[in-house]
Amino acid sequence: MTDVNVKLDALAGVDPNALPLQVKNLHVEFRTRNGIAHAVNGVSFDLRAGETRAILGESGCGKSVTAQAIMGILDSPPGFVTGGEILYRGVDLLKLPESERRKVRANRIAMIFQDALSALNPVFTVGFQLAELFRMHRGMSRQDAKARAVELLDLVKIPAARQRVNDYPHQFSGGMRQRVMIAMALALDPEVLIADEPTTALDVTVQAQIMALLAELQRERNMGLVLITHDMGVVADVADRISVMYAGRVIEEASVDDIYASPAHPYTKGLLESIPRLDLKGQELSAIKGLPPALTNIPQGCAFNPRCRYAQEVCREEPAPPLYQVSPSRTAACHFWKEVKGDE
Amino acid sequence: MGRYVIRRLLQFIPTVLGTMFLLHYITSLAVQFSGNPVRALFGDRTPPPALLQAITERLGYGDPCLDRKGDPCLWRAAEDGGGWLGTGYEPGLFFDRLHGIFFNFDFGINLRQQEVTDLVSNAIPFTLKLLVIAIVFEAVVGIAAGVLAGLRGGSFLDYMVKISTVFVISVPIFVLGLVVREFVGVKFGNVLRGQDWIPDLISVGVFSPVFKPDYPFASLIIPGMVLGSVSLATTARLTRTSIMENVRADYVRTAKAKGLTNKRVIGVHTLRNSLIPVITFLGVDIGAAMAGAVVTETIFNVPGIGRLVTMSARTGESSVVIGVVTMLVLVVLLANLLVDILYAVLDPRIRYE
Repeated sequence: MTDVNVKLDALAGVDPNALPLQVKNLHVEFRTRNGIAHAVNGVSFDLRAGETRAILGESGCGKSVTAQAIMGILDSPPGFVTGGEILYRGVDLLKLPESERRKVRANRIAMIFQDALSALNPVFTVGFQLAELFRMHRGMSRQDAKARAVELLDLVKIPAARQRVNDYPHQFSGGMRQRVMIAMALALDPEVLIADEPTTALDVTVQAQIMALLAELQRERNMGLVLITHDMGVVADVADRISVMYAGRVIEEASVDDIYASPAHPYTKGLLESIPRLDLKGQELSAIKGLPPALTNIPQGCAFNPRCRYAQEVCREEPAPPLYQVSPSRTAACHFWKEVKGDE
Repeated sequence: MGRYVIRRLLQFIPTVLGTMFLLHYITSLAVQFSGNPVRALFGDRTPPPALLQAITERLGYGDPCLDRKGDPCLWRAAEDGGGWLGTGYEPGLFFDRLHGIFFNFDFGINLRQQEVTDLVSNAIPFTLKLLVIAIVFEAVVGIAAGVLAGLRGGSFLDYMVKISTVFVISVPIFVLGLVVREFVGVKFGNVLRGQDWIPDLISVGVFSPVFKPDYPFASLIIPGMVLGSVSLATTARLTRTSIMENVRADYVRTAKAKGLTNKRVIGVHTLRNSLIPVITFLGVDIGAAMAGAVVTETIFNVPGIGRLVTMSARTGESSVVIGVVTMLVLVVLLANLLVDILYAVLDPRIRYE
């Protein structure tokens, strides 16, 4: 644990009692030749130590961009954070100089990517890529760092870690590669782990193993986990709280039980209804009609209104619906949340 | 890997034999159609037939097949009538040459009765120097320009690299060589040579319009740069594209997420992957550069392999052309094999079985 204290001293203004991660009113836009794409438009959420927050949404709703903005690894240009705060234990990461920001990555906030094969460098051994973290951030020698890499591979339950540390990423199976990614993210004992669709590229049995491993490691370390996914099943298994995103906004925020029991936003409701269910076998699967809006041209008012069966005139007018307090611990950005929630 | 190398080496055999036959046939046709090259030795004088006959035999142009237009000179009628396996024919000029080269290491002689092996070993150091200068120049400048342009796509520097490479690619090497010789070597060189304070190494050596035996390295710098320039443009463009693809790669994003310094993200994670195609190109380019050396050496009067082969082709000296080009082919084949091995070393995903 002394290791952690050393780390905390290194960053000025850190309040150990503050939340490990707070995102407030984050705005990100991409300035492209075809206009400005508003990828993230005022996203806010909190993350407690040991808590799992799922960020749920369709492709292109801004969830991965949110993650990259938190890590500070947006491709810039074209991507720019245009507003908001990203607080790590009270320190606004967006105000840190790049040299300080860099030290936050992997040390305090780490990230797992979706496709481990392309996310690992093909021309370096797995051991080199793991050891690199210890060498660059902890100043360890090559041998010590390599020994730590073997320990990490053991930790993520890769068999024969001592031999496999010298293998290249393409020599591992999909699930094993994702374990390597997890090992890499956990190497420096971060307090927050952002997992961007960690199981999307894997088959279902491997998915379950990876999620179980993540959950176990998270429990051991009391680490905050931001799980970005579009997989409602995974969310139901592991998440504590859910933020549902649509067109760059959080449109519903609640505990996992509340959301599954009674969604308060028509979009969330649509998502839940589109999960195939055994007891509805033979019936037509309900789907949300239409397509998500282009981020360069988000509809006026509520961004979901063209696809929404509850939509009325007020939904098509600015301003977009605010986050209504549905209950003390949940919010939803729908003028008609009462109808949505009650209509079950 | 060992088996792969052996298989590749075995594949050399048909390639080399095929090349040698083509060279043999082309040079034989030249003799058949344009007459005995030995006549050139006598200029305007008409030699006594017996003397001509003797020298022709001595220099290896006495085979009767060289009088029959279109004869590939593969077989000749056996003198004792029996011949090979009782066919009445025995292996002809082509097989004599193969036998000489592969069993006695005898590449023959030129018209002045110099051994081809001596000619080549005298010429090869100049060509090697020229090639080293060319390859180093194109690798260092090309990769540097490509990396800078690739990292800042769309910047002023990027456009500079794009425009200058298009320019260099579209000017043929013989035009570029002549222009450089005239303007850099003669005109600019004369200005330099008029200044006393400029050392001779620079004014007489580097900026010489032709190769100077007194400055065997300095006076090869400009010819080497001319030779490297065309591939330099390709190297720069290849590096640029490769860097641009790789800076957006997922593993580069991972490297950033690992909190590595920008220097390490680019210098280690991006560059290593980006340079794989560039290095393979440079390896294959050694062969192309040797072909280019024929032109460059002729323009700048460098006494290397290229000039040797040009001059021998002009005088119809079959043995020199066949010997030199066969060696060039072997060098190119070996270079390509080395590139393929290097490729597997650079990219661990590639394994040869």
